[in-house]
Amino acid sequence: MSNWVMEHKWTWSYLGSIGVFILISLVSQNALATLTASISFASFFILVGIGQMLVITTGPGNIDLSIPYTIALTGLVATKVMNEANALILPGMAAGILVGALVGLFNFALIRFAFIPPMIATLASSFIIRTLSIVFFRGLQLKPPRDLELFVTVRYGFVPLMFLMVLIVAVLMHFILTRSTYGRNIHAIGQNIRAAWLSGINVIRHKLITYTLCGVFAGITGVLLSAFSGGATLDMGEEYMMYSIAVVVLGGSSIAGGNSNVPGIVGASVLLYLIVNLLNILGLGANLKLIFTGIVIVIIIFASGERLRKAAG
Amino acid sequence: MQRKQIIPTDFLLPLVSVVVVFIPIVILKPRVLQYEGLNLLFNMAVPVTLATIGQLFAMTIGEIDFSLGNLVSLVTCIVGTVIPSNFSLGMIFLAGILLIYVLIGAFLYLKKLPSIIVTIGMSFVWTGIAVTIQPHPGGNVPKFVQQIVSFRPPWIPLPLIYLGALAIGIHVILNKTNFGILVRGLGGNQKAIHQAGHSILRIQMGAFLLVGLFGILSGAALAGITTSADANLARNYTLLAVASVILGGGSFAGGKVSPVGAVLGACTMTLVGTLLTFLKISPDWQIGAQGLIILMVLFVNSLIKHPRKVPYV
Repeated sequence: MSNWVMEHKWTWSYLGSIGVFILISLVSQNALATLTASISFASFFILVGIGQMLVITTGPGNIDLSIPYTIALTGLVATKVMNEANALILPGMAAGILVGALVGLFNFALIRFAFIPPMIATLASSFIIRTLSIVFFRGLQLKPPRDLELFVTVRYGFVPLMFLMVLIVAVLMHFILTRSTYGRNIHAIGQNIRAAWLSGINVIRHKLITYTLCGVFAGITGVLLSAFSGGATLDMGEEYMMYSIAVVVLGGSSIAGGNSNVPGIVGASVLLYLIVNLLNILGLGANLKLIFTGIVIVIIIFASGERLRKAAG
Repeated sequence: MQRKQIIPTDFLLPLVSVVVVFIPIVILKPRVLQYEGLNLLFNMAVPVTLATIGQLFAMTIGEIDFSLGNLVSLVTCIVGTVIPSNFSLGMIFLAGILLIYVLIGAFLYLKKLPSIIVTIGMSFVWTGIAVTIQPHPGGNVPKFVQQIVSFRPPWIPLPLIYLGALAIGIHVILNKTNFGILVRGLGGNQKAIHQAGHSILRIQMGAFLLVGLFGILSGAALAGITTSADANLARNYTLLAVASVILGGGSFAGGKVSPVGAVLGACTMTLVGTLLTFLKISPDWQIGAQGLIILMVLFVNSLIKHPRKVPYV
């Protein structure tokens, strides 16, 4: 057992989640409600985390820093298109996801055709996306359509429907990464891009798909998050910059690319949000919550450190 | 033996980009060429440059500090709030920050940890402490700190003296001292430095000490100029500094950096904002325009430097 845990370090995040949940049960009368709230919010971490992980898997230096503002832009676009009408939910969702995909394509184009390092390319594109959101959608007062709002808050017992759907997506992505040609190929590219290219993998097409998928995941998150939080705002994606990277690394994927871990992302997302909620229940102020969250991230990284390779890039 | 001069390619492009931004400013407002104009124009470039130099030391050894902007903000709170009421406590805070940076450098090496995620964790910690010290913008920055960044030497405006001294000083440290050469060597070929009998641990700790030190200097300068303590004052400095290092000809891979270029890069980033204001471009568009300018400069940069034939990204 202990060997298996050592081999599969992502299991730590599950053990940690159980531990934190027990702590929550000790201090709170309504632990199940806390769990429900936590996994609802964790669903968003999982979605952006999977997108970020795909990008990171393609090798050293690959990262998408445009996720936070893509979430905001796609949420705003979707809310605007839906215009509070139930009939327009599907077109709105499609519009949001399409915008996400376009952002991903734009990022890819900057990296491939302008030869700009991904970190700077996605950062600069996030500045542009932010400006588009401000110019076109500032002061957007629309609420999400009633049906969509109900849909994202539906629960079976204490399990939100949205979390179940995100889990299905996660399982699907797990099999795509471990069993499909696309999945195996992006691992190969991440481990040795030259070897991958020499063995006939179309590196460029795989990177195009990967960055686009990351944008799509950010788009889905933007649409759902705007429905979940009662409307889209310019800053609603802000915290996802740090958390999207944190869940990838805490989940056991290497920041240097070449390996991925979907179960780990699910565990790390739930763990992080349970911790946030535990700190909430303990009544800590925003400042202490930040400090503890940071310390927890650093401690988990130290604890699971040995195996991680250094980012070179 | 004539050593290869780094002058032409390394900072020609950053120099051109500063000039390209500077000329329209002069055309729009010829008075900026006077003492007072230059003073105001380059004032804000000083803290940005100091943060850039901090990031430069991290990137020289192939690491990155994602918490730099949060640290700079924290330092404005320490300088503006803690130091006026309790000088020695403030100094203990600053010494503590340096100690933590040295420890981060050591742990990153000893446990082969990815710097990006450890510094993401630290960014939460810095902001948490900053909010604890200074929940709302305010503070009372001591007179002597204000004077250091605002006294008026004859002939040459103060910011230009600081920027020139930093460019030359850091260039000398990195290119002419043993420590600087080892730091660059660590980024270029860690194994070679190790084989040559140097302690990588010590070099890495030294480099991180400098990251922390320049972060603190940047925060002090920013507090002196803005006379305010604000936990969110410099959040965009993290990425501004990365962009400035890259604009200045540095690379993510480490080993290759240009201090003079980085200072020019930081000036470009600062002047772009001023130019956009002078052009009466609404603040809404400014951040997007900044993104576009980064992209253009880097695109030109990559065209000149790497007429790439690599068939994969």
